[in-house]
Amino acid sequence: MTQPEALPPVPVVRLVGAGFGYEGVVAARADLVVQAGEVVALLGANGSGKSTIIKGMLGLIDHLGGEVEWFGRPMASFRERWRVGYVPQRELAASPVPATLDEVVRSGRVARIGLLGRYRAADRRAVARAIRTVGLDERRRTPVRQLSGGQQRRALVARALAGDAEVLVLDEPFAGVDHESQEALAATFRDLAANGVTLIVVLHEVGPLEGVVTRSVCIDNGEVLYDGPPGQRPASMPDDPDPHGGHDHHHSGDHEQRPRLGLLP
Amino acid sequence: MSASAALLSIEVLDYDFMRRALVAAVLVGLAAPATGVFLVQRRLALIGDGLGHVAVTGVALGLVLDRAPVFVALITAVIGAVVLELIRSRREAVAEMALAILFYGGIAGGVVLVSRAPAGGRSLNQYLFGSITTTSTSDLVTFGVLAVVVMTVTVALGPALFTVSSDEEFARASGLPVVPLNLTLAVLSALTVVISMRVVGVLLVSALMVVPVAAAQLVTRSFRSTYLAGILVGAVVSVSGVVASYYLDTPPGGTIVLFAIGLFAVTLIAQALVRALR
Repeated sequence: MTQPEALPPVPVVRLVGAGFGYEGVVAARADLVVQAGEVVALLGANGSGKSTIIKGMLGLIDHLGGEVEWFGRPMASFRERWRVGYVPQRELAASPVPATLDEVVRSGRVARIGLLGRYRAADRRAVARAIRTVGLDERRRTPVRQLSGGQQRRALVARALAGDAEVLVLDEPFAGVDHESQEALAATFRDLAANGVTLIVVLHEVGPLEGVVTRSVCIDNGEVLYDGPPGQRPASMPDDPDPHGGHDHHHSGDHEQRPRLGLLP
Repeated sequence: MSASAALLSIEVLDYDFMRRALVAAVLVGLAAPATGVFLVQRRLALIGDGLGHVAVTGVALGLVLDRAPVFVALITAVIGAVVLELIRSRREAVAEMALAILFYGGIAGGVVLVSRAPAGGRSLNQYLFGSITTTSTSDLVTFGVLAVVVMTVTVALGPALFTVSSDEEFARASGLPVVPLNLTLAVLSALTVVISMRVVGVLLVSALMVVPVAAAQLVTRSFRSTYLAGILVGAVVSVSGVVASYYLDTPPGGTIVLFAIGLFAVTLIAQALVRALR
């Protein structure tokens, strides 16, 4: 009697010819499969469409054809949204009403507790854990508007983690952040990756995440031009979005079967 | 309590109309900042003004049809709030223009309609400038029910409303029903406007939703404490404004709002002094 073949792992996210845009006009179209545990950098110049792709895969802008699946389920019927944490490309909006770091991070738990749910001991522990992960333990009761720019970015990461997210989708987490805060953020991402959290990171360049990124996806003009190990790039890219990418990192997923355009030797 | 304070409070409470006015002041003072704190957080502090103006059309329609003006105003304000929110959710770029059209259309509709009402424009004044001392027992029941609905919903949906008011994009990425939550807040705003218009008048409705929150946030550090301090400030300035208006013979609505602004100004100055002395 033969052993049944093991089923292939269900990808964290799977895009097949997925188009995204605004008011019915496609701004980016992508094929992309990310497996659990990967650290995928979406690289490209400003306006290349990399942020459009992640906003599209999260359902934040119009989905205009093709397929988007999270954990094997079509996006429209994917209910366990807390498994995906989103970190937008900005600091926390300067709110007219004060809110403590604890309150902001706790809002990342709302999807878990439900619309009419109340925060219980387990939720408070998860929030404390998320804040500890980003190293802001001592600022829990501080109004977020008193945090520095770098600390606010870390607060956004904590908010995304608060729901015990298995995957983080981050939009330019280092943009406008000073060198010291970049190092602190990069250390946080390194720890998260080491603990098996999948990271999908929009970056201008790999920079602080060199050695952490396991795979680069280069975007130009709303299309995937390259999908493979970091450190290589398509000749047709307008500039080098991956100048510090490492080499020889293992990566998984079906992206290897797709044609690569004009790879440099 | 000092003898003079006791004397004042007893005299105020001697009259039925003042007792009803004080109960109405407490209800409105609690409900208006409870909604206002989320509107301020969403940077929609002035939406109360727009909805107040739509309510004027409702009041005028009620007067023309000889139906309960408060009830008709409630319906028109809710419809206005929902339409505005749906426009905002689909075309954010035109939301401000839509608010302006609603704002002017509401007051213009009210003025034209009321000219056809049997009592003419006289009855409209009590809604434009407030008329808390004419609050009837049935008004109090209506205000009470609406205030309980507003407070219950803002507490029950507090975490979700905070999330969507703080960061709508993140709320959507988290899978929260953003449009229904925003519609809920819009309807709560309409309810609050209708409760408040008899107390401070539609021209000052937004003040009672916003100024107590503005005063509270000067001394608070968290959203929760701002919510609690806001409704406390709202209730205190509403009651003290009504009492003061009785003795000063001033319009209660304007007096309440001036008390709220005065408290804001005093807190701001005190805060600046404390900082300077440190």
